[in-house]
Amino acid sequence: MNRKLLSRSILHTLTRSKLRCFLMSIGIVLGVAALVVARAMGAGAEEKMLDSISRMFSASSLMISARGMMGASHTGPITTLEIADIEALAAEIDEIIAWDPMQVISGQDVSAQGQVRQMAVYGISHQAETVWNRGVTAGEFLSEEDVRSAARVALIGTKAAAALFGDEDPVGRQIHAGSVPLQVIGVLEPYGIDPHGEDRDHEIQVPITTLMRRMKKVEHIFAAKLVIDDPEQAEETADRVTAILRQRHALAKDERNDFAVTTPALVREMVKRANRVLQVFLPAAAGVALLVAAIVIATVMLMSVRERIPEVGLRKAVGATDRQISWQFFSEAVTITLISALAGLGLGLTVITVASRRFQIPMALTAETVILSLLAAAIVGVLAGLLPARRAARLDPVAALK
Amino acid sequence: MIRMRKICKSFQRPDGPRLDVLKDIDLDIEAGELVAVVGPSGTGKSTLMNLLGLLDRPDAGSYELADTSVAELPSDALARLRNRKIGFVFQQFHLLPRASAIENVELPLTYTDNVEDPEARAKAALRQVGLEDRMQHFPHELSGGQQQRVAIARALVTEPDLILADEPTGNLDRSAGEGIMGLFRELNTAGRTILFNTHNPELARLASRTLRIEGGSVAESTAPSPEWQEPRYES
Repeated sequence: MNRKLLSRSILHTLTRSKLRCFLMSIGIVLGVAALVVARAMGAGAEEKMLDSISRMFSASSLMISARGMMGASHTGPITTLEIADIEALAAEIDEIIAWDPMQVISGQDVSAQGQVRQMAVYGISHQAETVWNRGVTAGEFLSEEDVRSAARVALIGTKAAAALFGDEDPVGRQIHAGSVPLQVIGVLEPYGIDPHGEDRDHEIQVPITTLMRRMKKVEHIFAAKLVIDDPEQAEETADRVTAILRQRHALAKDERNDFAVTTPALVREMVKRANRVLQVFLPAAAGVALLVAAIVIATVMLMSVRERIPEVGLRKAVGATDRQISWQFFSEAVTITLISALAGLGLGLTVITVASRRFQIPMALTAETVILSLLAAAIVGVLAGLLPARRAARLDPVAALK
Repeated sequence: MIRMRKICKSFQRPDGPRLDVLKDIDLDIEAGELVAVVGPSGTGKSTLMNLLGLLDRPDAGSYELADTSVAELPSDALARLRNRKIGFVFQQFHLLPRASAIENVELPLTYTDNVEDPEARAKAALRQVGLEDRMQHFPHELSGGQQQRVAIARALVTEPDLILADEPTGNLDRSAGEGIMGLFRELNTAGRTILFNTHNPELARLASRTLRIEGGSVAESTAPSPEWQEPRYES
């Protein structure tokens, strides 16, 4: 067999019947483009989520949070985690270089000059600035003295400030959180939406001692963030934290932890799981589109086999074997599919570029996605080519030439 | 060249008994002959052509083509023989509409192993049929006679032992048909063995030998005559 002649003939068949070619390729082009865009959106969303999480929760962070004991007849908040626990951890574990305890009142009425807004009030320490990597754009951050003395001072988020004071400078002004008067000493850096969906610019932050003693009137905290010096040691440090806390909370061997230690690895795992919809289900939908495209190609090819019965008869008469006929039709399907897949890839890339540049939609294209989409298209081509190829090869030359 | 013995072929009619199209056909054709197969329509001329061309298998009997017994060969081997030993010319031309003249002529070489320069061979074949100036034309740009010449070039390109033409002038007007028959005569003079079907007795007179098929058998066969009549082409 002369492969060069057959290849040329296949190319001519495709290029000289443009409508048929268009019908066969459109499904693949759109399917591959959809697959690529869907995967890029998924990867982009994950990247953005990881980005926003790593801003809050870097690789050198550990998070301790109070947690209910499963199966215990315990209701209401866990009150066993205290600042003293965190102080003890910091004293015993050298890897801990900074820490910040946290307590919160969500949905607190905060008022100023007749305006009332509901917002979250966070209790933090003077170390929050470094531990959470969020400082102030105007005024000053909390001082160690503010925390020690449970001072009546507050930091205010930009949106909260705009809601209460409009365009006026909030620094130095009085606000009330419930009945507690607070003086605004600083404006928090804009932050945006956190991974829990909270708008972190519509909040105020006060010394944790002020929140615990004067406002919420509790002895416990609900979480604390630790900064450790060696991210490589995060898991080991987490184990030591767990051991020390269990001991301090006098938990028996068969008792569950009344706290949770969250490591960076765990957070990443959670993000990936949350993104499964984007990473798996959207591409799966695009995969269904590709399957439909395969059916379209197979149908158009079957129609074209019928139309090309004389051609098949002629080729057999001049010496084509069944297998060579089959190979020709099969190659046509695979060729059109792969060319369409490349076109779809180009279209997908264009959409990704426009979406991310023009509309700031987070998109990330991975080599994996490119390979996956080309592979999917190749499978589609093979599936779509098999049936028409078989049908063509089985034609009886005598009947075909009538 | 061709030796057929007791060849039988029958077809199942959709309603009723089997129809014996060919019964116990004995046929010998020597290299260099120009043979016309005549007979009324539906008498088995095309069936004989398909059997000779290895497109169909007989129900019984033996067939030797160029000293090869072909009755028992698998279909791939038959395809290879069709490619090397036989060139087909059809009433409907059967050119690929989306391929140029030279591409159509190259088609059989697609299935031939080790062809050095298919383009040169296709050009030579087109030159033989007088179409060297129409090589890049597409079938719809050619007249019927020219299309049939392209088809003949396609039959010649593999240098086959035997050319089989099924009603080669059936779709052509008179002058184009004369041209095709003249070309067959030329090719025959140059040594080609050609067998053609026709129901036109005038065309049959151009052959060196005429076979009449009737009632499923070769009813009449005139011996090769050394002196041909110049054709009086009447229809």
